[in-house]
Amino acid sequence: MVNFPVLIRLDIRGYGLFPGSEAAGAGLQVEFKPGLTLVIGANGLGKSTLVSIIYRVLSGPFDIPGVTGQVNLGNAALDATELNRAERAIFAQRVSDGAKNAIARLAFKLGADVVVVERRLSNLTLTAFEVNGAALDVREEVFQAEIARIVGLWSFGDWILLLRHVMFYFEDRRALVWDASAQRQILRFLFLPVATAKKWTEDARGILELDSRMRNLRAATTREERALAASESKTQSGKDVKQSLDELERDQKPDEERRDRLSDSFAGLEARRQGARLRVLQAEQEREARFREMERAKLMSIGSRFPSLSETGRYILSQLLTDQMCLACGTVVPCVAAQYTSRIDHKMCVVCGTDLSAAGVGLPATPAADEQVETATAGLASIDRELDDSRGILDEAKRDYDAHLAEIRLLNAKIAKRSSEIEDLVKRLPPAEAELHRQRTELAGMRSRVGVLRAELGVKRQVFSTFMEEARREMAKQSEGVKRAFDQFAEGFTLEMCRLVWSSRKDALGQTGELIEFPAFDVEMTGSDFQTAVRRTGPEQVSESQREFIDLAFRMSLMSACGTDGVGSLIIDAPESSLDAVFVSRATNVLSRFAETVGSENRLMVTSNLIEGQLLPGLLKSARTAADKRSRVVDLFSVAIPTAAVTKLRSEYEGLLAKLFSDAEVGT
Amino acid sequence: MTEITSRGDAWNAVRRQVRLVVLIHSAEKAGLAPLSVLRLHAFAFLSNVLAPVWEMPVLEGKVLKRKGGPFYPALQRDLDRLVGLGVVIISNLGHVLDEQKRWRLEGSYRLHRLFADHILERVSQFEEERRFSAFLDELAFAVSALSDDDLDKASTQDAIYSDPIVDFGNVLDFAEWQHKNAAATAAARLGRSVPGGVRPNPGEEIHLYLRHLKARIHGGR
Repeated sequence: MVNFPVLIRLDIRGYGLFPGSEAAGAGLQVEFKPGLTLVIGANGLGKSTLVSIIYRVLSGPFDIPGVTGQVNLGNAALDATELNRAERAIFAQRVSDGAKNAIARLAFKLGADVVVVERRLSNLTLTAFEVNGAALDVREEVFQAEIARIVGLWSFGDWILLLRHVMFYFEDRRALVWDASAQRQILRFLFLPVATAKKWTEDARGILELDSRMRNLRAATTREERALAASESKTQSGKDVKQSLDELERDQKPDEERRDRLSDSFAGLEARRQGARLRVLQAEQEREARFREMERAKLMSIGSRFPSLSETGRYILSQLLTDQMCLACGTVVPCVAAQYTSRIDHKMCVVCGTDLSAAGVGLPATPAADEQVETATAGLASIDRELDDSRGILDEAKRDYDAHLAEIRLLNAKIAKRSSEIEDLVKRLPPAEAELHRQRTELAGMRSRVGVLRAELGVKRQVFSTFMEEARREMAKQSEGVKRAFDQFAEGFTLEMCRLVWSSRKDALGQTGELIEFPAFDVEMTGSDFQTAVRRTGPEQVSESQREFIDLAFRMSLMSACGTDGVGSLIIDAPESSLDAVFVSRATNVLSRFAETVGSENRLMVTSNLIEGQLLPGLLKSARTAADKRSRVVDLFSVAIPTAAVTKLRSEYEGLLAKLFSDAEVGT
Repeated sequence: MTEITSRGDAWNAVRRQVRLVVLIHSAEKAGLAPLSVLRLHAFAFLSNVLAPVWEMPVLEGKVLKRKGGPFYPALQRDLDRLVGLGVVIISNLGHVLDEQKRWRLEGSYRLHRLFADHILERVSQFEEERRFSAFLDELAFAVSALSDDDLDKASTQDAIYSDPIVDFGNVLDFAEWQHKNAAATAAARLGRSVPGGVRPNPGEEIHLYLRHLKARIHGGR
């Protein structure tokens, strides 16, 4: 279990952006009670700054460069790196006095321990650090080691990942469930013991470093080969050899570049191929279910008119009517199926056409069964189309994958053959001066070294792959808890069925070598254009509202399933930005479920502009009394330095704020 | 090209149907027939995962992992055809809702000897099919040692199907794009663990594996 931070109190003093009011005391103070804390403001009042301050108090002047720079985390190094001077002055730059006297002090719980951290906002220097009332050394390395220990992590880099990918949902909307590379790192330290989580990181880092060294050496070897060939060509008389060398060199480079490009895109093709195969299998199962549904409806329809028909006979007839295929000879006979259907409709014997209605033979047709036939027929037709489409996509994905693989193999063979030819040609050149001899010796050494590194890398990758399989097996045991929690949090957010599936994703570790299978949760959802639940592996496959709230529900699930006592804090900057009106009440439910879990100590901090609509009153409704509602709102209009717009339009803002509380009262 | 492909598909279908006949035949010999739909699919699944023990090619190297156990839509269609051809007789026909609230066929299958015996007689004249038949006989006899309840759970307790690393709703790939067959590996390992140092034959390994499944079903490892 990991101890997620549970916020208790924030105290900001001396910061020009939040002067506070005389009545409330100087600066900005926030008491984080269990449940919701709503930060209300307008553009420019410092909502995002407030969120950043909390983040920076927790992270200190450190970050993981890869977390902030790229769309996905990828294979970024996970070391916490110190910010430069300008980055440390982020809060100083926002005020005229450089925040010289500004202090932010945050109290929070980590499991049973109460931690207090105080920092200067001018440069993020740590000025106080207490654990359970005892003051500790204020050096960053002490802070980092102690925080990691209490939380249950092996490195401070993991703490930053936890903050950025689970606890804080900044305006940049870094995805977790949609970023397989970030997700696997979070799952690593949430699901695995500290020592295993550490081994994962260190082994992966070892492979990445070795991969990088090997590629650098390979590139240097190639350069050396070319230089040597050029030198020897200059000094030797063999014109034909020189020409051959030139030609080989000219052809070799584009092939190497092409091979590297193809290798880079291989993981994507593999994911597409796997996804397409899954889709076909799912559609086949669904097709089978719908086929049987229709078959059952037709059996009922036939049975009502043919009570004494043997089961096999009835079955064969229902298949003929369902699939238009004669099971006896395998021929597709739509005209016979139509004829039989017509006989049923006209209450005639299916086989001989005898009118049964007048003779009182058999049972009357049951309209309900007939209606079911129609509904089931339409359902079967639509899944048939989907199945055809998914098979087409699978064929295409397999073709692309195979073509890609074949081309890589061909290029590898061509490159290897050419390398060997180049080497032979170089040897055939007449022996020359000492310099050439030295170059040749060096090149041979480099080639040998590349070979050794490549072999070493292959072994390391194999060992890591085996380690990863064991880790995935271990982690799978905990996946059920996360899935259950997700079902609860996400329930009702979309009209579609939406669930988590414990899965895996093949990805490259480095730029060479086989793909490695990493653990991942995937999202499976039904959709307007799909008959059954479909795997959604990227954010582009769902709407913006769905994307963000599914990600939030996933974060909540991780805290609930993997946190000590299932508690944690979630800080969301401006959740309203992605929501259309229809989804507001559903989104409110998702957030409220986290904030209001009975007996839970969860903290939910939401910042928002003062907007109309149901999001803010909906969130506040959980507070029982008017006083409680007000105590849960951090009113930046009264705490923050006003912008020109706020100064000019203050009365309008105050009116909206009053309306918010009034709306929140309705239905409480 | 299309003609060749469709002819190839047709031959594949015949090949699959012949193997289904052999599979039901083996089940009948072991006293397992008539086979319910899910048991038949479970038996087919076990025959796929354990085929390497007998050094037989795997007919279907992947399956979608469902909570209700393995189910092959293509095999079910082949079975439908065999019923239509009169080779297989279906009884207790019905439709049931599965755990996912989707309709599934229910029924019990047995061979119609009048037609099936001709097929089986011809099959026995081919070496590869004879080997396949012997493998299925061995598997069916091993499976017949399980009670009905155990039999219903056997496939889901299998080393491949029960592996928590693959969640329900994902593809179990043991012989299509990946070649990692934990069931065959486990059977071989059980074979090596027999005291006395004498490696059992493939048939005995299959029996050992099924006994291992039974122990798993009853809470052992």
